[in-house]
Amino acid sequence: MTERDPERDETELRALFDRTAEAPDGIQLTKLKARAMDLPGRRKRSAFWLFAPLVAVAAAALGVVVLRGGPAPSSAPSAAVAPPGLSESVARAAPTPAPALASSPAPSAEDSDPELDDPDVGDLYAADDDSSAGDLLGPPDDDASEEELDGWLAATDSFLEDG
Amino acid sequence: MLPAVSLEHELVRRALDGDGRAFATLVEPHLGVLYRIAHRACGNRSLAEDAVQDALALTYERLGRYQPGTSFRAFLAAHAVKKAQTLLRGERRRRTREDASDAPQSVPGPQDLARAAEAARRVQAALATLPEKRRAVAMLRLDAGLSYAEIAEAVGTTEGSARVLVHMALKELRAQLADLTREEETSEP
Repeated sequence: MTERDPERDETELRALFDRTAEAPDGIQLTKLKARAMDLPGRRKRSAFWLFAPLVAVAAAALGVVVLRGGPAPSSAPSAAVAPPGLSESVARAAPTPAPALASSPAPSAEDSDPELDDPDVGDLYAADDDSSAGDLLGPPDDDASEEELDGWLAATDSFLEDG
Repeated sequence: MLPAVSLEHELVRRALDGDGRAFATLVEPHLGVLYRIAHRACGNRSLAEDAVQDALALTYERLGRYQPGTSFRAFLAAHAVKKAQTLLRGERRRRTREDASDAPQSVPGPQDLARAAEAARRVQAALATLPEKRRAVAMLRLDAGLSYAEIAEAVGTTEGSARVLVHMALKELRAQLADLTREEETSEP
């Protein structure tokens, strides 16, 4: 029995494979090329949609943080520059000075409004606020002197009398 | 003009950046081979197109692992064969069911066409009986026309092992398809 030549075997098999192979036509090649061209973009898009929910959650969380934390820094300076005993009720009762207070830095001794510096006037403005005035202004501290307490009571009485 | 390796490197880089045109330019010369391998495995034109697309998607997914300067055809054909292996397994199961049902085989068209179709089916069936690695190297050698070095690269082995695998695969195929190869010999002028 003679040993077969492997090279000849390969040649014969190759001829058989070539004969039974299917080649793509021009339309199929164009279609395949178009699909290949679309692949990198599709991968990018699918990667975007894969991470989109995470990005959306992160953005929502950031939005909540900004919305909650946002107003605090803007209101804090106005409270900080307001003289003691003066609150947002001042802005409502006396609209002209209020924006200046809110937007300008802490007033110096020279440019401060003498009327606002008057504790009584401040109290009067504060008393105009029916909801938060008590909390914000309140009576003098427990350790306030008798004179301070009397002054506060007198100012309150005179405001109530004036209406 | 850029040397071939630099051009290929540049195309790979651009494709990885999402440039579809660059990826198409890279794979276009090899689409015929990919289609041939896919069609060998499934024997159906539209299935073969889908299989080529799957192979291309797999290739793109792993494009970052490709080393420019090595054979891109081998890199691509390896993914096509991987896809073909799955198709062939499915085809083998389908054929087993059909054989069991004793359905009459009818091939439309002239006699030559019918004989060619039957030969293609026999080749496909013979490939399906081979162990996975031998089947892969047989397709890489006979359909993709790769060298032993390229086959070794594609299946992740040494050139010597690739030679042995190809030899064993061809021997088995020769045994199963002897009548067809003889027919080939006698039909030659």
